[in-house]
Amino acid sequence: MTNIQIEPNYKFKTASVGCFLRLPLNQKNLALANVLCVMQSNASLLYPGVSLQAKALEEKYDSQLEIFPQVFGNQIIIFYSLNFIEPREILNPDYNYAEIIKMFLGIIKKPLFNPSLLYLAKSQLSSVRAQYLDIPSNYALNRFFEYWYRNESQYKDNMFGDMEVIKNCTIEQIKSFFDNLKTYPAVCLGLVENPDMMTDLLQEQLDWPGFFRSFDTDELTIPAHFAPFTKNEEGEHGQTQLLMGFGYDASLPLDLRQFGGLILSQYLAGDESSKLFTSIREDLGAAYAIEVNNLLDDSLLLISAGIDKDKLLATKAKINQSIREVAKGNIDKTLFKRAQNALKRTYQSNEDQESLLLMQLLANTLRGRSLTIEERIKKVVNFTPEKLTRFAQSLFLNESYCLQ
Amino acid sequence: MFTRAYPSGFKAKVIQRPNFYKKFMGIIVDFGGSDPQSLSGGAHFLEHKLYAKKTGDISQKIEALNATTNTFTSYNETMFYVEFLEHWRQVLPLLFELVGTTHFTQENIAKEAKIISQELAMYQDDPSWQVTHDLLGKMFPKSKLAEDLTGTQTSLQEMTPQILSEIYQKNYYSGNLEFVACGGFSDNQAKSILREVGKLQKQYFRNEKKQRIAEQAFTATTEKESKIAGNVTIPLVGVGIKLPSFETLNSNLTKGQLQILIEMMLEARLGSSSNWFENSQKSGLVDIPLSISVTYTRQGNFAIISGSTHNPGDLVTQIKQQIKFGRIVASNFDLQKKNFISNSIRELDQVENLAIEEAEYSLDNESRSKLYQKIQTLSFSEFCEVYEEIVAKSDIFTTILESENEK
Repeated sequence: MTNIQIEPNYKFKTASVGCFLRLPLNQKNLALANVLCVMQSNASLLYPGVSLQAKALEEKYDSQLEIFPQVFGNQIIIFYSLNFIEPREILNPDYNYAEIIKMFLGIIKKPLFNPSLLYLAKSQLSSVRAQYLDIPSNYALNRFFEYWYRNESQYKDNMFGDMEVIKNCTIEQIKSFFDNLKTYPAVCLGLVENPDMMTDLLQEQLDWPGFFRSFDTDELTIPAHFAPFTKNEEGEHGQTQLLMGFGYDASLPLDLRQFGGLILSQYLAGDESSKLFTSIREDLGAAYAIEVNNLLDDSLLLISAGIDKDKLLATKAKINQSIREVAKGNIDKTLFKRAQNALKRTYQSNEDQESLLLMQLLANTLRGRSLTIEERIKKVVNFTPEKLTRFAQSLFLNESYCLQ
Repeated sequence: MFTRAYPSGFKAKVIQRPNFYKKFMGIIVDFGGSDPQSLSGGAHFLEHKLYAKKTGDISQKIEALNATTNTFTSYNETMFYVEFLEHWRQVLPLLFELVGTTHFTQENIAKEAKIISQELAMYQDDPSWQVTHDLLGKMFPKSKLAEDLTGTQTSLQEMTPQILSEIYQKNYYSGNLEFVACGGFSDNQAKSILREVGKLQKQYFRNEKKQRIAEQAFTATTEKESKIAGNVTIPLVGVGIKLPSFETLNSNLTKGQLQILIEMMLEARLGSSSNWFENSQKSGLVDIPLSISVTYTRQGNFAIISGSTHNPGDLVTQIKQQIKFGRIVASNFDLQKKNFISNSIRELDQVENLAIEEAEYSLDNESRSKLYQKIQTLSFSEFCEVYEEIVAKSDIFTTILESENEK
């Protein structure tokens, strides 16, 4: 049976359809995936020119095509997604699902492989990377991961992959990469007003072998190995970028890692009354913003902030102290409850964002489960302070990176 | 949409988006960072400090209702808003208390100055900020546009409770404020909200009719081109178009309509689907689409176009050429109109953006729906005529940001 799941869209003015392909993460695969994705975003056999393809999408009421690779733990997911205005919103008989899908799958299935398009893609990737890294917080994040995965080089860059591969790859390599891609596990997901019609249209055209293979995997997570590391680098910026990475045991129950990490992130830096927001921003006056992210597939709780360089040591101390307090069981019950409620609100609000609903469908398909928003909320609500303490006790500071 | 104009001059509207869970309520002030104020960054500092109340930080009370609050300061507006799922009756008075009461002390101001100083440092570390800042400094010297909306490191240290009180008194009164709500509200809820808003605006805001802040004019510097040094791998080019006052044009289009028209014309000439962009990519001049924005303010109107390139001189020359002489045909214009219509439909799915946009247009006595209708009926010849007049009355400025070594 073809891997297709199209859900009904009851309220949005736009619809979304995506084809997702999964392949193992290594720096070469990621680099080639980036090149292919940029080439396909630019042009195709159907629209053999950058402005031709851009105009074709604009003609379809500015349909938003996104083609890019994204890393999930030890896997790369190649996204081919299209967000378009639901035809019912437009009184144009020539604008319908069949025409939209013809364009979408035409772009995906019939890439244009020519040297000038390849040259352009390489050049674009190099520029995008340079611009991205010119922002100090991005540069610091990139360096953080290079050190975090210093002993597992296949994972060290989770955005662009090996730049040497990007620089030197040939048309033949990209073509062969694309041909192999058809055999990797793939799934088509969507949210549209008329799911049955859309499923019928897709079914007859999704003929790559990957669409008949199992898409889910239980091997996404990269374990964090205890190997504490500290690095300070010099920069010439107004703010100092501080990133502190706490690893945790990947063999802990999934719910503890996922919801423990989410609640702790919210408890520490979710809103204005959260622990680190109060202590680092309000009390120390050291930062404008502070972020805590639970990167489940990397077994990593990442705390990052742009701070006043004179307050670096005090900020680090506050972060360590906040984690220690939770691990000791000293949890502010009001803040804990507030963190739970905030997550509940976030989950419910996600139902108002089509792109997040599509991501949720993908996350479930990837992990081989069907966790609804209601079930996620239940897991948050049933999470106890004792469980949060248990999660915090499993954290170990594995990297402290600073760009001054 | 339910709307109400109260005798005090305060206005309110509720935009219904059935089936959406998220609810949004906000108050917008017709006063922002580039309007006249005794100390630069005053409007933004005030935005931060209105959260401080005698009883503590009001955001804690808002969060206790499982709501989240945020604010922003733009050139001529300041907005305070709350997003939530339920308990609108408890949320609404807190929003009015947030905007309608003050508690400024030397101590809480000194504390906030440190936080805003970090916010400013964060913006200044971004290369695109450096280019925009340099362009605005040349186009509108000695104006508040030439300084960041957050102020300067010096002005932050000079802030006092007296200055904040003075700015607040001058700008936060009934005729200068509007309320907007958006989300899955029923008809009954919408009517109840407007009734409650009527009582609250009376309770919290001084009753005073709107005094429009006058438009200002600033003479640009004679230096039209500059090179600055920064931390960039690839040089970043910025082209600023100092647009004429829209009042001086022979057109009956509104400010909002003119802004969109200029954006459409620049997109058609320089955007990712333009022939110019494809040729420039092929020749290696640019790799990724340029960023294009058009802004109108009481202190002046401007467009900023920016992008990275290894040949900054050539890119500057070509952008200038395209602005002045780039040719577009009716089909380009139709495509831009199509994009515009699509964008207006897409916005309906974004509760927060929809509310903010409606509130912003409303301050200029415009409505989103009328604006979209007008753009749809605009003819190609009218489009070209207006654009040509605008370009003839505009001035172009350029900034190239290069790494220290290249400069």
